[in-house]
Amino acid sequence: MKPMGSIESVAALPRKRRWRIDGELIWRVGAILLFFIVWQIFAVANQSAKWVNPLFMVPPFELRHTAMRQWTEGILVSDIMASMSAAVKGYVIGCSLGLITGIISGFILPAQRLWDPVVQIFRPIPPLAFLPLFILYLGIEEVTRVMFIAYSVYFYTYMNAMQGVKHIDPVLIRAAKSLGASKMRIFWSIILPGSMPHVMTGLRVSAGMALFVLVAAELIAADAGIGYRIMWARQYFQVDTMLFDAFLIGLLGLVIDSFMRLVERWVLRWKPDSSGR
Amino acid sequence: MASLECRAVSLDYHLSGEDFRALDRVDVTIADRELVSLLGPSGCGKSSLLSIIAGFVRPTSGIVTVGGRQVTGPGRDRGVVFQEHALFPWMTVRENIEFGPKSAGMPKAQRNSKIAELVELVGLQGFENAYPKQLSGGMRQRVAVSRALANDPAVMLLDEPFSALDEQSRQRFQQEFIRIWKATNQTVLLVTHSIDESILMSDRVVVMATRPGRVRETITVDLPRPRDETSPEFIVLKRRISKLIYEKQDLSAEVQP
Repeated sequence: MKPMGSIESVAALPRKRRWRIDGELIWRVGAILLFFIVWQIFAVANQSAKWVNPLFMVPPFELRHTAMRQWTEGILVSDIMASMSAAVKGYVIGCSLGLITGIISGFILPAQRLWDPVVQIFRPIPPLAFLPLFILYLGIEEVTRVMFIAYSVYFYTYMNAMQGVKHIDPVLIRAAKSLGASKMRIFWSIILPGSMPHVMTGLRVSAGMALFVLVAAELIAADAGIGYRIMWARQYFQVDTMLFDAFLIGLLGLVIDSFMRLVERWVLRWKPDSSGR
Repeated sequence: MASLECRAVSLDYHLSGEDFRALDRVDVTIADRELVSLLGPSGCGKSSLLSIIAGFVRPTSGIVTVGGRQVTGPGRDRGVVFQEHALFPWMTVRENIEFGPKSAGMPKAQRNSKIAELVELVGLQGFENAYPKQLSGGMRQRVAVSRALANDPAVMLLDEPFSALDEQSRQRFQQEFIRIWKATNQTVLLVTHSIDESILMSDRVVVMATRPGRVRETITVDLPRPRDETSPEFIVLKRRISKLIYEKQDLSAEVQP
């Protein structure tokens, strides 16, 4: 018995794009460098020309001293730890609840009918509007920031998890049934992995959101962390600290987003490229 | 003994307040190891009938039995191959094929030998760990066929499995499927809209008509395999079936039975 032909080939993996991305990268880095150089020149010139109060205009490359100072004082590490601790705890709690309720709502219609309208009432309200309530209930503690982040992040994970379940191709469920799969097996082998494309988007957006609301919460309700450091620096006119910590948040955001994209690419390694990144 | 029997199967739809009869008292019987095609224009209910046999849709009336047992829902005694392969995209070729046996709780060693056997049968050696996205259309359909075969079904149901393939892949896969069918002693119901395909592949062709969907006539294809689409016998059959399908067209002027 001869096996079937072998002319048909495995689709080649895209490799060519690398060079073009490198070109893009050079442009991006170049533009950012140029921006800071122009700023630097202006700020240095301002120190003698005094177009604006030099106290407010810090040359960006001076921020390395700020970084060193924070490092030797130990507040760089302690601020990052304080912020990330709240962010991670809140993120994990919010995402877990979002995933569980989102998947249940996608899978069981009565659950969706009961829960979804409630979510839809709260969803359009900017979470920050509830921050004073969180402070009132929980005080200026880490738990306040954790619960506030969990609340803010919940909506993205919930919505995406529910959409993910709803968008699974019904033919796949039919196929699983006709292959003799039990309800449990359909849930674990079809529903769960099938909803991952949406779920991963939700988890990634939520990670950005967590950082976003964390800083907002820290500006108002904290005694440690990067947001707190910015508010503290304002009282002492430490413009360099305010700037440095703002950039620090940006850097953390970038690292978190890159990490999430890596995780996403690994989880969705089976997915055709057309709709992926 | 009949492997598959449909007795007076009817299906009504409710479409915007109106009743619509998709299938009208359809009788189809398929013997053990037979390859039968359901042929008809779109709207004749051939895919609906397949969905009923597969257990995805309940008929309004009538009975379907497979191996003597009445169909009440989807089940592993019927291996379905869908039009767009319907492979689980997050599973490798191996995981797709072993989905059925694993659901049935077959031990790992037994599953492994089953997979090896099927992979060789359909010629997918070396692709066991590939994801469906890495395969061509023809290869995906071969995985779909082996996934259905992995449960040792009493009957295989194929819903236009060749229609999403390009011409070359389709011709190759048609021949390959005949070989697989012979090698596995399967009983097969093939839904198709291609007259050529139905004559090329099947022992019998169930020609269906529309409005309401019903069996017009069942034609036995008594030609030796492999079949030649240009042989006079083939063409005579093709004309006869064409006439049944496009009854009011002038083809009938030439070929009177």
